[in-house]
Amino acid sequence: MTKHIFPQGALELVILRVLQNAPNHGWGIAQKIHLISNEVLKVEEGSLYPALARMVQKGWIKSDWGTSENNRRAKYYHLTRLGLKQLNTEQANWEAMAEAIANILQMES
Amino acid sequence: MAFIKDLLNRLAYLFKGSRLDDEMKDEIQHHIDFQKNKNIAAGMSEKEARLAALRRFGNVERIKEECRESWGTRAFENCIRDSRLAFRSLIQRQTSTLVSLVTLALGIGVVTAAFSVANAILLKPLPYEDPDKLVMVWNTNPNEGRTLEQQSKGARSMSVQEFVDWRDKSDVFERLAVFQSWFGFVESDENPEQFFGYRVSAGFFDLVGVQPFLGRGFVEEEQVRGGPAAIILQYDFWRKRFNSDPSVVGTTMQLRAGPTRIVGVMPPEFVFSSRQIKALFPFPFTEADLNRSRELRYLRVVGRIEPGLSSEQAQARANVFADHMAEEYPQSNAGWKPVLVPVAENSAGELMPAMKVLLGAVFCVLLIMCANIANLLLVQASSRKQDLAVRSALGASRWAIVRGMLAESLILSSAGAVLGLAVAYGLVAYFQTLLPDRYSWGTSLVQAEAVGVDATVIAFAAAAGIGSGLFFGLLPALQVTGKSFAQSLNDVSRGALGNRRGQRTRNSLVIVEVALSVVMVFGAGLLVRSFLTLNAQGSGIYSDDVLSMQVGMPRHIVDQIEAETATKTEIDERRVAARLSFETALASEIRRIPGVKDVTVASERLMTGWYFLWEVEAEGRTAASETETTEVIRSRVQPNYFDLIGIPLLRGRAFTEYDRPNTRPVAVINRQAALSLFGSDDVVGKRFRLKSRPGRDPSSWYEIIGVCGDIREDGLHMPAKPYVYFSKKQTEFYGSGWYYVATEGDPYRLTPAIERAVRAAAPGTIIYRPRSLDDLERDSTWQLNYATLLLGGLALLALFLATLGVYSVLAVSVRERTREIGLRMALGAQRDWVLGLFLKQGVSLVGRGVLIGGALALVFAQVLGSLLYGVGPFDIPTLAGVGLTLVAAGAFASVLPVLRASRVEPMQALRNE
Repeated sequence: MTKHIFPQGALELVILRVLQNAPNHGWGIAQKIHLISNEVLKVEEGSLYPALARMVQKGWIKSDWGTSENNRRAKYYHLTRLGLKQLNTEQANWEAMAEAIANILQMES
Repeated sequence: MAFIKDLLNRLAYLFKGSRLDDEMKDEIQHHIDFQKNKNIAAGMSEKEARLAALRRFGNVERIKEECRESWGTRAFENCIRDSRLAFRSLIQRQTSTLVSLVTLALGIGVVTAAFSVANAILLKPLPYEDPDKLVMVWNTNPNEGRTLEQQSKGARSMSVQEFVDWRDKSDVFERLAVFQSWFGFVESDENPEQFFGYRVSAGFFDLVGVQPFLGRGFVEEEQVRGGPAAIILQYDFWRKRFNSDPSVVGTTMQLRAGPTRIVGVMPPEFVFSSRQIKALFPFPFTEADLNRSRELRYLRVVGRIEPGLSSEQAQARANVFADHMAEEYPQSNAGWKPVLVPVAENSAGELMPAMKVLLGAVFCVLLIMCANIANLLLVQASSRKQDLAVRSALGASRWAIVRGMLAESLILSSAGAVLGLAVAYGLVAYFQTLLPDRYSWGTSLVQAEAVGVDATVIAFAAAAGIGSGLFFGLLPALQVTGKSFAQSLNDVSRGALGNRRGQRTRNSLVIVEVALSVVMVFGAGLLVRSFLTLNAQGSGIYSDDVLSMQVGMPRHIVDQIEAETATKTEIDERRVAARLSFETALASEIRRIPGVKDVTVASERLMTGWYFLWEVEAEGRTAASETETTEVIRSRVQPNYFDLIGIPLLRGRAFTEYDRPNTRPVAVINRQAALSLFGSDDVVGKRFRLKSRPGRDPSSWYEIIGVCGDIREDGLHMPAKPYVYFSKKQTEFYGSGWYYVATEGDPYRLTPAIERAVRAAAPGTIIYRPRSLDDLERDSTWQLNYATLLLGGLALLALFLATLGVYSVLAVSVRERTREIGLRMALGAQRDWVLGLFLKQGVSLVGRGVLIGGALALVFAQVLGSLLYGVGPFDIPTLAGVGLTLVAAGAFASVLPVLRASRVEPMQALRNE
């Protein structure tokens, strides 16, 4: 299994998108990304938690204490209004960028 | 707004810190548990699963750190933690901390004290409103021998009529005022006193922009002749004579001139033109004043130039106005040119070079001190390298380690700055006792009282502390954490051949130190040589232990004569007779005091640079003297004067008791006067006279009966002045006498006895400024003395620090290479070879420093130029001496380390690790 490292800013975008569906804890977020990307993308714990802390600081997400599947106290993150706005902008940016890069890569000789 | 919110957020985190930490621990544990469960599900054993989960997670602490980072409280936390660590490590390394602290305290202390002097003289604004606009107005005329230099030394610049024209008709000045030296006499039997002050014309206080802090300035009717007599006291005089009693304002003081109302007290920081002034008096012009000749230039003038005019524009306008005056009054004003000199320049002018040198020296010492401590820290850092490498391996970033080391050096330097300030306080108090008690007649106003520790000085000490802390902390920190950092774990444990790079840095620091101290020691050496030359040469006075003081005849004697006698000539005659008998009586009273050898009385004071000049002409050489005038100082002396003062008689004889009013007028002149009048000193029997002046006839012809030695009246560093002496008995007139008392031992010991004797013989007699001739001589060169003392002290400190620097570098080098030495000796190297190795290192360090420093010294010594006497700025012998001194100091510094190296026992050194 090859590991793909997230480009700058992409990790935050992906986290935001995952949290848009439902609040989740750190482990859950990492698992979701892993599964949904068909096990292509793997989030390093070393990047995940600092990224979460940064996003809390920026006010994109908030954390609450809840009970997780295995009946443990866990910290759940959910999107804020600011986070949703950020997601929309970033998603649009990302798509535009991806399309642009794809166009370049597919250009005829 | 966003910024403030962010800041509040961060602060909140700072307080919630520990709770957040716990939460984070929980969260991470939660994550790891999930992973463990997943691993177990995949078929691992419990233990395996846990370890795998932990491994996968990575460095927990590092991740925690990164998370904390994003809370934004790191800066605060780091600060606190760094300083806690720094304190701990400083306390652990007591010796080096103590050495650094002492170095810092001394360095910052001395440098701050020296800075406080420069601050007072160069940087502090003069205590006037908008002082840049204030100018002294001098008047020069090369044809009449009036140069600017002579003017600014106190000659007068304008006549009353000229002043009135300048004030009322010119477009240069917003305000213009005159001031004139004036003496006041307090009449009292118990506590009579003579004091010096200025008469100032109307508008003076508005001109300088300083008002009395008690009472008021002079009002219009006080500035009119015949108006109410008024006086404004200087703060210091008020404090000493009236015990700072505010109620004296409005009361009346009994002065010789009559009852005088005290109308105000000036604020403590006020000085004007002379440090000596004790009071200000009104300066009313009379009709007679206004009608005096335009050529009687006896006023000194200060002005405030028109707002909006630059000094160049003001000077240009003044030139135009002077040309108008010269057209209107060709006879009196042709050739006279005004020169406007800013008051600030006028005051600090002659001290400027000394102060610049001082400031330069201050920075040199600071650099040397920093280099020294940087070296010390470098050595330490290299021995702590392993520890630091471990910290780095555990995840400390380079910045974190640098920060930690910086915290140490900043704490060190702040403590050093505080201690240094204490040292500076002491030194400044000492400096103040060194200030001269010299008439700054003229304008060389030094804000000597301003030498002190004020806000600027404290800010300087703080800046010096923080600046040097950054400098000497950053260098080792960056060096240690440099490229090869990762390797150092290995290096240290293997005890490799010294750390080449560290060694190089330390060597260059020491070379810089040595070079800078060469510059400073050379500068100080030149000053010391000038000082020695001057003092060896002396002033021309060959006597020890003579006390000089002015004693005035009590006023009531004169009053009585004036009451009893009718005609002016008769009054004059009786006054002179009364003076002479008063002096004879007083002298014999003083002679009777045990410890007094002899007394003589003269009309002039010695060695104060305070005198009037009289134009003289030689008989038969009048034609030649039309163009080159000879100006002399004139003193009326008693027969024993030359013996007592110690002025050698070169030709002819001194006066006797028989040189009286009715005998042939005779004079003794000094060599300088003889040469300048006759071109030879073989002049006994020749005659000269005082030239006529506006409103005064020439004197009668005086026959020269003797030629005596010269006195450097203006100071040891100035050429001797022409001097003529008349017999006191023969030529006595008005004026008070200067008494010179030759004593056994310390002259000041006898001052109280003399004062008692004088008061007993003649109550109400004023004794003014008792001072020994030795002190007067010393005062005359106080600038050089001061500069020599300050620069000498700084140079000694620099020398000491540089020696310490050489020592520490060698010591470390020996320690680092102990194993190598052991190995070499085991392989057959001789002790001599080892000795030579380190001696060579020491000498090469110092040698390179001396070479660089010598070159720099020759460049910078030129700044000293005007301060030097009898020695040039390119004095190679001094430089050679300085080089030798430094090499000797280097050799001295090498002794201990080299001995240690030679005592290395090979077996022990090899076993030691």
